[in-house]
Amino acid sequence: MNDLSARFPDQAMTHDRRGALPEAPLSMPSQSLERRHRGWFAALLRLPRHPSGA
Amino acid sequence: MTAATGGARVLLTRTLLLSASVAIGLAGFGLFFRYGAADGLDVMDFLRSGLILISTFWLAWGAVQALAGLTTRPPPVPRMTGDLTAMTAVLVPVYNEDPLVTFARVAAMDQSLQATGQGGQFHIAILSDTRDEALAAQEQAWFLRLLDDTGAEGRLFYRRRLNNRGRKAGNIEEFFTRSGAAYDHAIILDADSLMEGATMVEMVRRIEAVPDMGLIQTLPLVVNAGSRFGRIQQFSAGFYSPVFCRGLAMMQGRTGPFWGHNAIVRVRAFAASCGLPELSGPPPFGGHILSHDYVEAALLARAGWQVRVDDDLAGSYEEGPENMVLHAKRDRRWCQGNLQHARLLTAPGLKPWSRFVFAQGILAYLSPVLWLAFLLASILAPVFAPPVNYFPIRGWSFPVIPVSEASKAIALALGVGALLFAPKLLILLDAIRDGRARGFGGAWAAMRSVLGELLFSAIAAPVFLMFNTRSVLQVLGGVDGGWPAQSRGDGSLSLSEAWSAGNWISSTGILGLGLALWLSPGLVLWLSPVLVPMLLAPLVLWWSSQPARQDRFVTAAESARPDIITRHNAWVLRWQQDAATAIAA
Repeated sequence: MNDLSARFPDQAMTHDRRGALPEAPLSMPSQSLERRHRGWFAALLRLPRHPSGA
Repeated sequence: MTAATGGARVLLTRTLLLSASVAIGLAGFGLFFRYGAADGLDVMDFLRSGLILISTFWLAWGAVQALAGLTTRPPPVPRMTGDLTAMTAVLVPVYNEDPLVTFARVAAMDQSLQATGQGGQFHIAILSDTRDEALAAQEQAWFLRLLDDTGAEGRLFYRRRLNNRGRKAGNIEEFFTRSGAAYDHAIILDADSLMEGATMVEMVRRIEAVPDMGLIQTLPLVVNAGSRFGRIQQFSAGFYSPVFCRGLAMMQGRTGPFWGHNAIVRVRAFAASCGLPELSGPPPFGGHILSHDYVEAALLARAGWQVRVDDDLAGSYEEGPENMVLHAKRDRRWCQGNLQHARLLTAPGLKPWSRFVFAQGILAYLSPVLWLAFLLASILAPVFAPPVNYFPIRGWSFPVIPVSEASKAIALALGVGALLFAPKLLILLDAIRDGRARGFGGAWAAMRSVLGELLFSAIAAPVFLMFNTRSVLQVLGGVDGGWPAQSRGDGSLSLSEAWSAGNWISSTGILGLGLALWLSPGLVLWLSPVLVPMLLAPLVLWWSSQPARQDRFVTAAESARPDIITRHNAWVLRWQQDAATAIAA
């Protein structure tokens, strides 16, 4: 294992560090995809409920 | 063409094709409603007419896309010239694959890229999500062999995730968050993808030429099929798909499709727009987004980036399932992914066309279920039919015999047949006219292949209808299909394997036949095209999985073998011989 494994503990590299990916981090923010719903419609389709709890 | 005229053309095409499909659906509805009303209206007539409306619309929607593809040509696309300056990462995600065959693809693509003279602007990264430790150890050994044999250290990379969060989408996302800033573009492949170096260079030229282009999708052709089913699918993909794809391209505008692989993305656009959240709630409707590609295309469009499919980009290949059971297994995953999109139909900010594409993907899996519901409703209809009233007019003592409207049902059946077969026959005529058929063995061979494909499709359709219905019912029942690895290889099924995979379809067919004989004996003949293949399902599964003659269902990629496939075969042969020698020693 090489030193990258210390920074990325969930990664297994090749044993002798050959072919390790270049380190050039880029942010990839999680997008918003769910609209909050109210009432019986949300309950029926198991949709995410509106924070008001309606 | 300006953006405004391009937008107007797209809007006009969408409106025309949608209107035509709705009109054909309504015509089907009208015909069936009048047929059903002949002996008095009941609830089953309304139900069946509604099912016919949706199902006929869906068939028509496929047919009009083929017509659009046959009658139009997309406008030429801009491309940059000169030496490439942008850096592109070619991503090869793997998940429990045969490392020898997979890494031989990498070696072939690296060689092909170097041959273009632009190879220095490309890196290839193998992104392993393999869970099998023995396979993972083989991957690492074969990767070192790959570096030694190609001398491509510094161009080829390998890493394995120990945590498979987010499956394939998570695998790609992990690459972007870790190494994305080193690249301008990324070509996303599948483990079974092959792409000519010249095609990859051309993709970079095209994405570089349009600053707001976020993604360009190619149409991968299926190659290396050996079984009867595989070769029929391979022919179908090579012969029909380019025309359907061209029709799709005419409607896409700025919101084209992403099919998850064999596409180039602008790294900055993809990273900023396509981080996928986990949906609330448990699978199959919550959790990881399974059919992530459609969602990523919609997110790019939402952020203002263009997504485009370029059907003219040749040199892009993939492999397909070799038997109907493997096809159904893959379809089970896609079914769950597409139905999960029901959660995203109302996602904030999406383009209307993206929402329509989600709805279309859902309907693709619901439509066969609707056909099955129609057939079942037709068998049950006599139970609900009111008794015939021969004296409907008060005070009139002569009986009135209801007029038979069977001609309406026959017209509807012929119309449905035309929607299914006419587009493929028109594509055949067009291919003979413009000489494209020469690549498929010539006009006669292409005609024989099309007729064979139509016959096989008719036999296979009821079997797939049952697999499809089971998948939909499982998903709606809350059963998660998980993330099974793709099975590759020759795919040949034994009779007992085919029996265990298909006997439930035969049993359902026997039940259906019994029900029809009991309640609607007059329908049995009409139902025979569905019932006979169902009864014979295990035989259909077995027969179609057997090795095929290689001179049947010939494709263009076989008539003139692409350079990248020759290179790949050479690498596989070389490494297989070395491995055999090592074992013998």
